[in-house]
Amino acid sequence: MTIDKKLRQIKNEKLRYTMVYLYRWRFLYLLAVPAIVWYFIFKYLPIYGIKYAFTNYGKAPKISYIGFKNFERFLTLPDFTNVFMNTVKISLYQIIFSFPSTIILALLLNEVEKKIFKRTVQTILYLPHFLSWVVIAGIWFNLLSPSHGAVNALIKVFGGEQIYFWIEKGWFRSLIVLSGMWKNMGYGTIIYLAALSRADTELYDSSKVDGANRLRQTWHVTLPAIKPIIVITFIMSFSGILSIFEQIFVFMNNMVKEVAEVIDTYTYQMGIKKMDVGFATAVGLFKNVISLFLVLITNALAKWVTEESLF
Amino acid sequence: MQQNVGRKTFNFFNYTFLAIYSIAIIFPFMNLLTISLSHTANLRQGFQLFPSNPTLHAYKTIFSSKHMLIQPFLNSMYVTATGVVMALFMQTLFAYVLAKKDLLGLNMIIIYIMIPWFFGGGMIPNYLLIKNLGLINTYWALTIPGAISFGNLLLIRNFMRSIPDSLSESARLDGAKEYEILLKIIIPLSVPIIAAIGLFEGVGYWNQYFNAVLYLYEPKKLTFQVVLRNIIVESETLGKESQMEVTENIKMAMTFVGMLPVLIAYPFVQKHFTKGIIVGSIKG
Repeated sequence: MTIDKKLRQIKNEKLRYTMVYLYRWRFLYLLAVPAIVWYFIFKYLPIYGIKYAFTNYGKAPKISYIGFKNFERFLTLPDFTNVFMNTVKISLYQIIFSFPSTIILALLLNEVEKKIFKRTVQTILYLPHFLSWVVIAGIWFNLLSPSHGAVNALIKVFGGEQIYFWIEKGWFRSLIVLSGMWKNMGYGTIIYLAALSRADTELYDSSKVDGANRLRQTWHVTLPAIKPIIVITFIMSFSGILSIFEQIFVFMNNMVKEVAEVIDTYTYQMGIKKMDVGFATAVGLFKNVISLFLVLITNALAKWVTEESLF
Repeated sequence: MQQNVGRKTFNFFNYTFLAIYSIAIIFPFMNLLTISLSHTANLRQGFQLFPSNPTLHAYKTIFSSKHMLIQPFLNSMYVTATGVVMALFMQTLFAYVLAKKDLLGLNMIIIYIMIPWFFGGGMIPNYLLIKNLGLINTYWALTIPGAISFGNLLLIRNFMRSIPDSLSESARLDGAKEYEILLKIIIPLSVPIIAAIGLFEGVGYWNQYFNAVLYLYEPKKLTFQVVLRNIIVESETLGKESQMEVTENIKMAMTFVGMLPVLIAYPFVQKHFTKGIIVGSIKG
């Protein structure tokens, strides 16, 4: 008798069923082993390393537990407060400017009727997303270069003085937001366009019969169609506000450090470069816990306000 | 279909806006190309839209430099190739397991892999782990830790689930073993999603920067993006190899090379978008 038939026969003998089942599907379970081991090593073991947050690793020759002293230290450090505020400010600016813009861009793209034009624009818009921040830094340093950059050339044409953009504290935040939008806004429209393409054409037709013009249609049909996606994307963006890193790392320099240093660059500086491991681990733990809170709270709020949520 | 005046006006502004926006995206690239094709002397003349005397001087210089371009380029190629193979191998096999809907213990496995998605070790514990594994200054540190991504698992899994069960079932009835079903039926049918993921992973590995900075310290092991950034930011001289100064055209030529693999892969990536593979899997 085949093993599947046997399984069906002994369905009620729980233990024996389980043993035969595991044998019958042993290939799948074996297949899962590498991944499970991988997760254990590279995802769970680091969680164990969090314990160093409560030690003086890096500050003393013998590692010993010091309770919450690391946390006291950075919570009272004015440097850290500055770093935290930088992170929040830059990320919030990014969300405030790029989140609605991406949606509007998606809506505009959706209204394009000539397929060739739409396809071409999309091809162009998606490209920057696939470049590394290093390459983008190269491009943007060049663009804003005081000597031969296009922007400064324009400024000089209008009689102004050249601006050394990347070393000016006042410009840094705006440039991060702008370069971030240049890179990701186009690609960000994909998920909205996908949702829009699935919007119920019946609803559009019936609203037209009721006399709705395009604008009302957008408000009453289009936006509700993408509401779930908007909420999910927002939850994910918002809960990631403390995690901005590689973009800053690439554009940062000593002159703008005061406004540029974010939590992860600070962690890198303290933990890797200065080997103050316990302290840096504590900072990282602090960031992770707050980010987790943000996910849960934002999700709960979203569920309460809009009845949509990530989970 | 009749268009009213309002619609025509809207279209006019919309198309114009999108065209201008597209130009704004392309313009920095053009600027980069222009500088990279300029003579060093011309660079001091200020902004130019097109190079007045186009020259391949910058490109010739960097392509003949083992230290600046050839070695790092080959290093990055190696990391990308091994990374893609490893990622596809691990993710495809695991996704196949996840794809079986009623597997005993599947829920436990899913919870097991979702927990770290919410809460991770962070930069320092991960660094310590790599250090304790003895992987500092090796390419394994760049390829293994990023091999599996939850999003990719979902994409492959959803694709595999869309393959009709009847195919596997009839193969089983014909006496096929489980591994044969995977290798001879499921994987060949999954080539579209595997190729798409492979491309995305490849781009990701090529672009990898911070991990290389974190884990590699030997100069001859550095990957392309690391060397590129050093050149852009620090205006280093080429060091031991020559006394040549790194000028803007050289920087831009290097940046272009940094984009090149992505530009070459891009049409293939685009093809997968229009096929709606990624999009369709978002439904799942």
